[in-house]
Formats: sequence, structure tokens, C-alpha cells
Amino acid sequence: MRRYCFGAAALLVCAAGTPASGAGELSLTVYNNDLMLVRDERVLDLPLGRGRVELEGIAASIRPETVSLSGDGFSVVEQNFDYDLLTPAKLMEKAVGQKVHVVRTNPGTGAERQETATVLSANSGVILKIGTRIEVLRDDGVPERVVFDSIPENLRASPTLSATLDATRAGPRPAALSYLAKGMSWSANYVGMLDDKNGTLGLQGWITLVNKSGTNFKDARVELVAGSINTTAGGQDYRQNQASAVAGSAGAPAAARQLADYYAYRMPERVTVANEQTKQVGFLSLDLAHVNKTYEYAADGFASSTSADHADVMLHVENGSEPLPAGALRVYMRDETGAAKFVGENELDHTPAGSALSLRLGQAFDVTVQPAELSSEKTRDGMRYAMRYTLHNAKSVPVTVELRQNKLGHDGKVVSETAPSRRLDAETLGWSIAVPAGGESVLDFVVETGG
Amino acid sequence: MKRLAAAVLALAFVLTGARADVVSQAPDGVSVTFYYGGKHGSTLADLSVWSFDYFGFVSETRVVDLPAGESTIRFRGVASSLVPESVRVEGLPKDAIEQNFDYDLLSPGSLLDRSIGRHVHLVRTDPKTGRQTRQDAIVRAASGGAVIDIGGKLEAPQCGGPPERLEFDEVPAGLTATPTFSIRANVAAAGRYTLKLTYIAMGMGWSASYVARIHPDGRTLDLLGWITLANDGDTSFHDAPVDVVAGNLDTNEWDHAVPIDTNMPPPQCWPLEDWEATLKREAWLRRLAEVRQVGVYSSSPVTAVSSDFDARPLGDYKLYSLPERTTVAAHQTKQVRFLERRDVAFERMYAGEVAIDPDRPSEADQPVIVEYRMKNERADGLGVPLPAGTISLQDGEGRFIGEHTLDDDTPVGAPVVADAGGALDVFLHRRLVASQKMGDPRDKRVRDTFEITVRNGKPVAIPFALYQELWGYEGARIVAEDRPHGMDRGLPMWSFNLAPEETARLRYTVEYVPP
Repeated sequence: MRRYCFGAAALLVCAAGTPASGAGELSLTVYNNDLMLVRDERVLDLPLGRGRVELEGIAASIRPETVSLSGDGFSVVEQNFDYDLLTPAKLMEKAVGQKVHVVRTNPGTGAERQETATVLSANSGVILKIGTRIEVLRDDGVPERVVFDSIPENLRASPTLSATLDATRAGPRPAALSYLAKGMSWSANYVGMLDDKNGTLGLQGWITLVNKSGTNFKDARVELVAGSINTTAGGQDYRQNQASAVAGSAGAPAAARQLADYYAYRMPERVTVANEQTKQVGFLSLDLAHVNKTYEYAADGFASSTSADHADVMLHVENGSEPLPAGALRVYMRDETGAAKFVGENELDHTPAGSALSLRLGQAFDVTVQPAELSSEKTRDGMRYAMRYTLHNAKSVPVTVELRQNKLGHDGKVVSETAPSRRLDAETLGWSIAVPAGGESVLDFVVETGG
Repeated sequence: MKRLAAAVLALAFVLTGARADVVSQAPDGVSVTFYYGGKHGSTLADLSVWSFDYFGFVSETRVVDLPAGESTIRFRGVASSLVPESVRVEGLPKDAIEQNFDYDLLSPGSLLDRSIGRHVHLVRTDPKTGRQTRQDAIVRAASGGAVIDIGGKLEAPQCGGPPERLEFDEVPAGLTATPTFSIRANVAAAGRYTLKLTYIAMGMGWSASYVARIHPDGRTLDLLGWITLANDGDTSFHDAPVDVVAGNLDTNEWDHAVPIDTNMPPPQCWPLEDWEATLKREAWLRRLAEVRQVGVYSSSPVTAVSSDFDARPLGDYKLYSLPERTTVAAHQTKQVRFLERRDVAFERMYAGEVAIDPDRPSEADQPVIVEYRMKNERADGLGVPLPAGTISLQDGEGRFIGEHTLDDDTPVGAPVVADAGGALDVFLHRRLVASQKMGDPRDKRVRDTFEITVRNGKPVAIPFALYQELWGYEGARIVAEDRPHGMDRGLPMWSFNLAPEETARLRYTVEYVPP
């Protein structure tokens, strides 16, 4: 690392590569739309007056315009984020007009011959000037090595932030670096073990952190922010939020107030998230009782279907004492041998404590509904529909299907029905239809909908 | 690479701080369950670690010796296509504190990448004498091609041409030979724990396929059902109990395996006039893509002969357990017979469907489809859950006569209809014979009367069904007909038998509101 500390004009300071070493405190605020605020405290040992510092261990996905470096007794004259990746091709590009050394090996004797060359061009093929000769590198396919004298400035093997600072006193002091970066995301995930006989769901909640920022973060304090910020914030809106958060990076109440409108979860322990790592931290483990499974079929409008549809399997859960941040819930269930099997997954909304949640697991193999529009007829100011729903149950136990019919329109009314309906809302009717084991039930009704 | 793998194993037991590191090298037992995501219409050919239509569920047993207090348990050899969020660990007295999935796989690329700033050795071989020279070097850059520093001078060893290689003193910490899932756990008492690790793995799946062999009597057929298991992942499951689950489960489209890129990116060397090399590399990448595409088919299917095995309920789905343990190797396709029913009753039905079409009120030669209809009932020789899949039909002499996709699961009691394509010698004509408005100019309804003519040109009697599509027209209903219709598939349907060479006529009136 020390390699890159040469060659700067004035004095150059090499800051510790890992921020956690020393007194530095690293904290990450991760939003769940590919954005994080990094607050990184480092100790800078500065000489009096102007000097340059190079800070490594910066997220490669940094948004350089959001960088703020502040501390006691210095001011920032200029700061640069350099991440022009060092590659052989870049090395050659930057050597145009410079001297390099070309080593040729005689394939017959194995003898090496070194010559100094000037690189004239590196566009499609490298053109060299050796003495008075102009040559194309490796034109004859004979092995040739190119030796460079130094790494050009600005070519880095890792992302580096460099700044020119003006210090009013010499010596080490803490400095606060903060910036926004992409590439870090979090989500809540749940794994639930369903016992549908006893109506319980054993829920484990995990916070998943995915680090694709290009940088390892060691022993960081991590705070996770959820809420409407994720979906509504466009680029511009977001920048405003960011600006105030950055301004408050020293822990000013402004930042806290900003966050007060959202859900914020603080991880209890320091977390090390390596680059390209998916890390999960448990945040919840609870057993929910009062879990209810139903079969539902929601008819959207009045229409026939050429084949029977499978009824939805819905899970209704009464949430207890814990708020549940939005996330995917994967439901497992034990088969007859006691082995856990996956039975479906769905997205959970933000669920406050004490509220109920409903979630679709999938469709029942054995419970089907065949919709048939027996007739539709234009009436004076609306339509009259005669519908038949044939429900089929191949299970060895009777089931009840909650059937819903929407699109009743204005002044919708039931003309006749073979089972009593409930009005779920002005435009929706609901029936609870019992279907015997291995049998069939038929619901016929005629409704009139207004214009 | 063998040498490096050994080095990794040597690192297996290390202590990080006060926390003990416990490594479970491989599962002590594994079982796999294959799913299809219920998004019918996709085929196993679409299977990849990126497809969410198919996936597997892996259950591993791991026996570990844990010290009291906090420890990190590393599970080596988990499926590389593991979905980290789906992992559930059972068997610990206290729930795991933290889970990590690292796919820092040891590969030439990662070895170089993790060696940035470290001392390595550059070995050059004299092409004439074969004599080797070894120089100390420091890696300066890796991801876009190696740049090494030899005594302050920089070189790009992958770009020069002469035979040279890098030697490393050690494997950088954290690089592992197999995908690793780790948890941090805290137990009060030291001892031996049996843990169950269950997770979803992408790139696995199954589909059902059926073969119906029609008997010469024309009334019964033999139905064979096959389960095709496909594992497009890089992980083999040895001697595992295998289950498949049939049913339409909800899954997240964004579930996916963590991408594992062990390929070293091609070095970004300075431009050379070496088109051949570029072309070669491109050809190689294309080949790689092809291999991936046909991966599912590239290995010959292994056929395990087995008789019927029954579906068991799993919640509201069906679970089939293969009767014997089997090995599902990486990139393997395997077929197992799960159904064999003899003498299943069927009916060959000729079906025509007509729609209201104001642009073409009369049409000759409407298509007539040959349908093989079964009832999924015990009395008819069937009566078993039939997962969605393809059915191919063979006639009495073993000729292939059509293939149809049953794109939905068929429960017991429901009809099974296999469409074998267009019928020969059965002719269907539709003619609009009258079209009336209702009289009141404000009334937009019309009444169209159609005459349907069906002619059976075959020397045998056939059953025929006509379906009238009403969809898309407001207030469409049948108001008059010369034979009563029934309802089937949600449509008005007339069915009748036709004697050899018989021509039958049907007339009905549809009321609807033209758009």
C-alpha cells in the first residue's frame, strides 16, 4: 500500500488502510434501495500547512460528489476520488510518449536483449520507437516483455480518496469522513415453520446485508433504514435527503429528525461485511399462534374459463408483540415423515405489532373452481349475469372455499342465488361454500349490475 | 490446484479472536426435494440458476462438535446455488446469531486478487535450456490483468508472451475451495450437536411427462408417467433420498442464487495485432454459453426403473418420494417412472369451436380437433393426482400421433383432455342465416342465427362436440336453438354422434351487443 505514497508534490501522508485500526469508528446507514451513508472516523497525522492525504478502504461505488471530510484544525483545499483501475492496457496507454523497456528473448539461444523504447501509440497495436526504428510491438509473434519504470499517477489497484489539506497545526487528530455509496443493500427475510394442524407459525427473522460496494467494511456499526424513502425518492429528492444527512454526520439532531419518519433498526453488534458477502443477522424469533389457513377464489369480473382454476391457499396470521419490517416470508412445513419442506413464499408488508397479515402461499392442487357465465343479457340500464361456479374438492377432508365476485358496479343487486351471499363492499359479494371430501358443490347466482 | 486445496484444508481449524471456528467439511446426510414453480409454459430447457420457475430444496444433516460459548460454524460443500435468505438451521439450543454466505471461492482469479500488495514469485523458463529463474515480485493489480512489481519495475506477466508463471507462498485467508455457509452460534454446553440445514437451491427442477399408449380397441389406453429431474447446478447430491413436489407454489421472482464468478476475467493487455487470440477467446466464450444452454440435455438421461409410487399430501400440494436413494450429479438429467396405469378408459372426441366474428359471418372448413378425453376417476382406471406436464400419444402400433401440454395440475375427479391436433375427414361449416336488430333504435342488441353443418367423412361413427365462444361480447347469450346445449369448459356446448358419412345440422340464435 505504501507504494502509492511516493511522488506527490508536497508532503504526503498515508492514512491507515483499515479505518477500524486506531481510534476510528466506522458506521454505515443502509437504506434498502441500494444506498448507504458511510461515516468513517480516521486519525490523520498532518504536517503544518498544505499536505496531501490518501485514504484507502473507500467504497468503490462511492458517489464522489457527496464526500465530506472534516476535522479539527484543517480545511480541505481539494479532494479527488481516483479509481482508474490499474491494468496492463492502462499502463501502456499512460506510457504513450514515455520511455519503456522492451526485453526480447532469442528463441534459439534463450538470450535476452533489453532496449529502451518510446511508446508512440497504443491504439490498435502498440507502436514503438527504438532508436531510429519504428516498430509494432510483437509484430512477429516473438515473445517480448515490456518493463515500465513506474505506475502512472491516478492508476490504482484499489479505490482511493486523495485530498489536499491545509492544517493550522501539526500532529495527529481525528477526522470525520462521510459519503454516500451504492452497492450495499439490506432486506428483511423471514423463515416460518408452519404447523397447520395446531395453527402456529414459528417465525425467524433475519436482516440480510449484501455488500457489492467493492470494499470490505470491518467492525462497523450498522443502522438500517426502511420506509417510504425507498420507493418515492427519485435522484433529485434523494440528494436533498442525503445532503442533510451528510451535514449532520457528526451526530447532529438534524439527521436523527430526518430519520424519525422512517423505520430505523440498529444492529446490536458491530458487523464485518466483506465485499461480495451476503450476511444475515438474526433480529427476531417468535412463535405466532392463531394461524389460520383458508381457501379463496376471487372471480375478477363475469367470465367463463375454459379450464378449472385452482383455489388460492391463504395464510392469515395475527401478529403479536413485534413489528415486522417488510420482507420475504418463506414458509416451510413438515411432511408426514417430519422432514421440513418448502411450501411457498410471499412478500410481507410492514406489519405493526398487534395487526393481522394475510399472505398467499400458493394454489391448492385438489381444490378447483370452474367459472361459467351461463348467460349475460343487456338490460335497460345495465347487465344481467347468470353465473355458475362449480367447486371441486379431491381432498379426503371437506373444505370451505371463500368465493368472491367483484365488479357489481352501481346499483348491483342479487336476483337469485343458491347460497346466501354477504356484501363485502358495495361492489363485491362473498360466499362461503362448503365442498364435501371428494365431491362437488355448485353455486349459481344471477346478478344485475347498474350502468 | 490440488496443492492449494490442501493448503485450504490446513487452514480449516483456526481461531479468530476468542471465537472458536468449527468446520463441517461436508454434509453427513443430504436429501433433496425438486419443485416446479408452477409457472407453466416454461420447460426444463429454461432451467438455470437464474430461473425462478424451478428450484430445489436441500436438507442436510451435519454433526459438529461445539465448544461452550460462541463459535462460528462453517458449513463447507453446500450447494453453490444456495439462496442465503432461505437457510434455516435447526438443532441448536439457541438460535443462530448471524449467518454468512461467502462465495470467496479459491480460483486463479481470486488468488491473484487477494494477493495484491503481497510478495509472490515470478518464474521464467528459458525456452532453449529449460532453466528456470525465480524472482521476487509484488502484485500491484489483478482484476484487469496482473501487474507486478519487480524491484521497482513494472511488468504485465500475462501480456508478454514468454513462458512465465506466478508462484504464491500461501492461500490468502478466507478463500475456500467450496462454497461455504457459516453461522455464529452460542451454546451453553460443549458437545456433539446434530444440525439440520435446510435451504432453497436454484438451478434444479423437475417436470412430469406422460406417454399414453392407445390400445387397438380404441377405448382404453395405458398411461405411463415419468418424473424428469434436472440438476443444472454445480453441486452433486450423492446417495440422497429424493422427493418431488407438485403444485403451484408462490415464489419470488427475485429469488436467486448468489452469482459465483470463478472465471478470471481475460487480462486487459495492451492491444496486439493478434486477432486469432481474440477470436479464439470469443469462440471459447460462445462455446461456454452453448454448453450452459444445452447443459440439461448434454448428459444422457439415467433411467431408474420403478413401479408406481403414490403421492402423499404436503399441505395443499403433492409430494412424491422416490422409492430408493439416488445420486443426482451436477448437470445431470434423470428420469424415474412414477405412474403406470393399464386399461384406462378414454373417449376420442371430435371438437369444433366457433366464435362470433362480424367480419366473417360465414366460414367453411372450420378446424375440428381430435381430443383424447379421460376422466381422472378410479372407475375409469385412473384416479390419481396428475401433475402438469406433457403427454405424448401413441397409437396401437406405437406410432407417435401427437403431443399436448397439460398445463395445469389435474386433481382426482377432473377431466384430462389431450389435444392430438386437427382431424381429417370431419368437416365443419358455419353460416349466418339471419341477423336482426331488436326494433327499438336505442336498443343496440342484435340476434344472429347460425347454421352449423358437420359432415363425418369417416367410415366409422364419431362423437362430436361444438363449442360456441361468447367471450368479448357484452350480453351474449343463446336465445333459441334446435337442440338443447349444455355447459362445458365454461362455454355453451352441443354434442351428438355422427354415423359414418352422416351430415348433421344445428341451428341456434345468439343475442349480443356488437362493439
